Amino acid sequence: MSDSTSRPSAAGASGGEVRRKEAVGESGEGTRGWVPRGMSTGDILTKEEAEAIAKKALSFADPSGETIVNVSLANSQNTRMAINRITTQRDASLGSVSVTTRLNGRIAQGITQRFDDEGLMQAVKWAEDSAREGPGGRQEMGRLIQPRDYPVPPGLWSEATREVDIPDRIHKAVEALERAKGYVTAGTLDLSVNSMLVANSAGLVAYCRSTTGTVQLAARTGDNTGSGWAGKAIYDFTDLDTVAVAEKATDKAERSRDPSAVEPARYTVILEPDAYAPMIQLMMQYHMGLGEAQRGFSVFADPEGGTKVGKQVFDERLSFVSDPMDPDAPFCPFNGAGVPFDRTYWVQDGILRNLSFGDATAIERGLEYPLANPISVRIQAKEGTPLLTLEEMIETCERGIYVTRLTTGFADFRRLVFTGVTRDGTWLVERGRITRPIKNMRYVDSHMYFLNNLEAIGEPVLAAAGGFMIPPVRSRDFNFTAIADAV
Amino acid sequence: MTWSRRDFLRTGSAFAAAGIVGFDAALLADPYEAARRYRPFRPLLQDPDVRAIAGAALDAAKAAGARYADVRIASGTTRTTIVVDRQVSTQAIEGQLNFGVRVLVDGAWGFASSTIVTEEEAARVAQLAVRQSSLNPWGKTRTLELAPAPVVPDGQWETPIDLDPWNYTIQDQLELQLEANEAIMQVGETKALAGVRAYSWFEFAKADVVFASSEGSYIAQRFHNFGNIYAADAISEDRMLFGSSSPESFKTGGYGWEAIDGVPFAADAEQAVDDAIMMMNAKEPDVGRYDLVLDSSAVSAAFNTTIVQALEFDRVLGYEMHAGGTSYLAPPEEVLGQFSFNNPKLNVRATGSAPRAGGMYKWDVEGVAPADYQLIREGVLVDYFTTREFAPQLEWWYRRNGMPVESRGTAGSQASALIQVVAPSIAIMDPGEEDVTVEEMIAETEDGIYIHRGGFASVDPPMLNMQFTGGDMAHEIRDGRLGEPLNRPSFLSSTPDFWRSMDMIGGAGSFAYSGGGTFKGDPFQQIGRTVGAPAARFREVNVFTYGRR
Repeated sequence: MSDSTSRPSAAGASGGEVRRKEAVGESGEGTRGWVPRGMSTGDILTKEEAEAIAKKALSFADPSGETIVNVSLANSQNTRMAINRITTQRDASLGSVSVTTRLNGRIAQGITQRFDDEGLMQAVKWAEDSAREGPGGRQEMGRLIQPRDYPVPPGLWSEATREVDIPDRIHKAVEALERAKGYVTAGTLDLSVNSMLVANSAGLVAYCRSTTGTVQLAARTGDNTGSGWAGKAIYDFTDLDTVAVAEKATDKAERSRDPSAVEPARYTVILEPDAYAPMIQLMMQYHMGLGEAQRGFSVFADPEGGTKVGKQVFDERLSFVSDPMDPDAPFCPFNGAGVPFDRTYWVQDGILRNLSFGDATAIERGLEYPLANPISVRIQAKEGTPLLTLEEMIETCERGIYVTRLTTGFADFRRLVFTGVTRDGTWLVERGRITRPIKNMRYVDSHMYFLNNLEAIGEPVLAAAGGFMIPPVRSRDFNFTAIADAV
Repeated sequence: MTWSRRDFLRTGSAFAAAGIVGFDAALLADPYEAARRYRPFRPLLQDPDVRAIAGAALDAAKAAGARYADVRIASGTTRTTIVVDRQVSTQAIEGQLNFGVRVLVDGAWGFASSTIVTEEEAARVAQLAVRQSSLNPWGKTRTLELAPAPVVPDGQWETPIDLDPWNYTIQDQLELQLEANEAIMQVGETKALAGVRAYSWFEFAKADVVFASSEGSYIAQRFHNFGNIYAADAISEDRMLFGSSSPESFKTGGYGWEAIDGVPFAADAEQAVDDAIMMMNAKEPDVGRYDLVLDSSAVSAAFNTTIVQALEFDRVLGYEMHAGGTSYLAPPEEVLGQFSFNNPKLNVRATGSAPRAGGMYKWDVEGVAPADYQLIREGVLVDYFTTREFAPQLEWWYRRNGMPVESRGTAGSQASALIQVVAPSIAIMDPGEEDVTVEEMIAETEDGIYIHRGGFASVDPPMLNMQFTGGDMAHEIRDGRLGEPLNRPSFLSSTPDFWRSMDMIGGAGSFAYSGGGTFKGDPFQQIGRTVGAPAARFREVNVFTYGRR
């Protein structure tokens, strides 16, 4: 953590060192309603601080109901780059308390950004009024999560990231900009330090803190014909190598200069992980629910009726697994209601194994917990599958297209078909080597197809936006529909 | 406009003390009772304590060396209800209370925000923002002079609505939705389908935002907005085909309760189910070149994505190269007054005032009133969406043409906790002078497709190449008449070619406002704004379909 520990006393610049752990509100003698006395600002909540807020909210709740309180406070840092400058920055402290009430056979929510008593009372009242007076049939209440322990995922928290101050991140951004001199660059460096606590009226208290970050950089050649991009997600600030990211982006820009067109058609593609990570994210976000699939509204609905659970949906070499203890992509081990995220295979050896469900289904199945979807997922190859590097995929490719990045929009939401264009580095591969940069092309395709036309797979890496471990792949018959002649 | 009746009754004169309130000891002694007697969200429009917090931020920024500073303090409530089929799936009331401080130090911006709204925190956050800019060695390589703007020392404005939604309860809202969904379910269940789904999402939002600047502006605005989705979905008996239809029963935008009050949604529901089934069974279009008639909502979708967003000056300069994208309307010195869509029918202007438009404001997030002005005149680019930061860069063009060198009042942000970016005000594509109707355009089309009820335009980063996919509905046009329904036809075009091919434009009768907005920034922001457009016809466009493999 050389950057942080060797940090000069940067605070001098503005006169007043306003650093962490500096309590405010002392003058108020407890009469000022906005901040609980003694709470620090500019930092996340400790378990004790968060628990005090949650307990306070629970104390305001109607004891005849069941209540879940979720307290969170995140500190985000952003340094934004464009046209070779740092154009804007942001330091944000974002707090939120969500109160979910189960009362009178109904569920309702009240949310506030205030941590003071009045704000908490208000959130409780909003939720309880709604539940108490609400129309409509009774809802599935589910069971409160009983007090329990959760594992602490290794690597999810980094003191180094928490300690990052403005000069540290500026230094990292400047390093990238300097490395990319001579190119037109734009990008972002984001860091977030998060704290979250769930408590309920059954006595559950679950706390999780995490640190995340990403750097992403696009670079163009001065003649505006070549464009490259690279990104990297981190948990620990000391892993943030912005120079390497800038090198990769500028190298791609240089090599994609003066592209020429190829005929739009179906091609074998070599996809970098970040090219299709957004597709995986959209699938995890919108299509993993059991109910929707049963009723025919998701991509995992079976035309024969029911769902595709138990059927092959991807190449048999592929598994999709979510695990908060994933050493490369850990995440908090419970959701906003305290439902544990245990290691879950959604897809195993190409076969759909699980779709997420709520507590009604869990009770029906005699299970202790609902199956919650953390969105984060790792795509991994079956043991024994040879894992190829991107270079090896190129070397063993007779003819194909190498794709750095795709824009991604829905062409057909229910069938999970996407459309967009290639960008920031697209090349033709012939007889085992990259022969020339090609003009961008529009595609209409889906990982539901190309992860079934798999020729080769690589080692998964953390996607630049974080949260997903995605391997590079080589697939047949990717559907390019038109030239998109612009950089 | 009065604050809600319910709020007023409960709080009385407590408003005056709303900023920082002492605790009622009796309430604290009995928190359970206290929770029963909550206060409404703080109205900021007249709040002396909010003025003090704003002042604390500005003072701290100036003391720390900022040449310019502004602060936005926001207090809002959002009431969201979702009903799926006959089941309430979400009922939530969310309160927002936060602020953001933007500072300019030696030509470099700084920005910081917090959800703890106190004078102390305002000072801390302002100092943090100043530190960012003072420590930024790569922010000052330019001179940044803000375009002058009139000081508004006491601005007040509120979105005009008829019926305050906060006089109605979340229960009133849910009852209406349950009825509306029931109407769809009842019709749907009489049809031969594997599944029918009724989905409704209603959201009333109220936000008070105070803007204060080191130049002396102090502006309080109260924004009302209603958003909704109301849809019928149908799945064919063999579960292979899917159709969806969203009736436009409920209005979206600057509305209060009147958006949903007394709406005869039952008749719409029946039509929606029939439409969904019709689209479910609709055939694929044959690939080929067609003349396309687009209704106002479909034109708006293409207009917003390929023209309105391309006119945002930060994109034009490359500020959004990594995030929202660049623009084909660049560089300014080569395209202003020179780039032409080669179509005199294409006239684009912006306005700050469009009744009921979503996202309307009297002053933007820099305290500047939005201008009524022309951006594209008879197909030729003449201006951009700008802010105080960017307007001076167009001085050469403005001076040459006798136009004011000032912001067009089109700064926006998704929330006060996010920094200001360029965001169009209400963008309007002018209807034709003659009152041409959609029916007349169809009657004059031999072999074509009518695309109506929205659509989705996917563009490449510079917005130069588009693929448009039809929205809820499309029909063949054969010899001047509507034919068979078509399943979501798509077409490909370059943006300039597409707008050049527009040979008929609807009159005022075909003009309507639809959802628009912009998507940009790191961190990412979505800023919703209405756009307005007439129906229009486009000649010889390449239509295809993805097919169903």
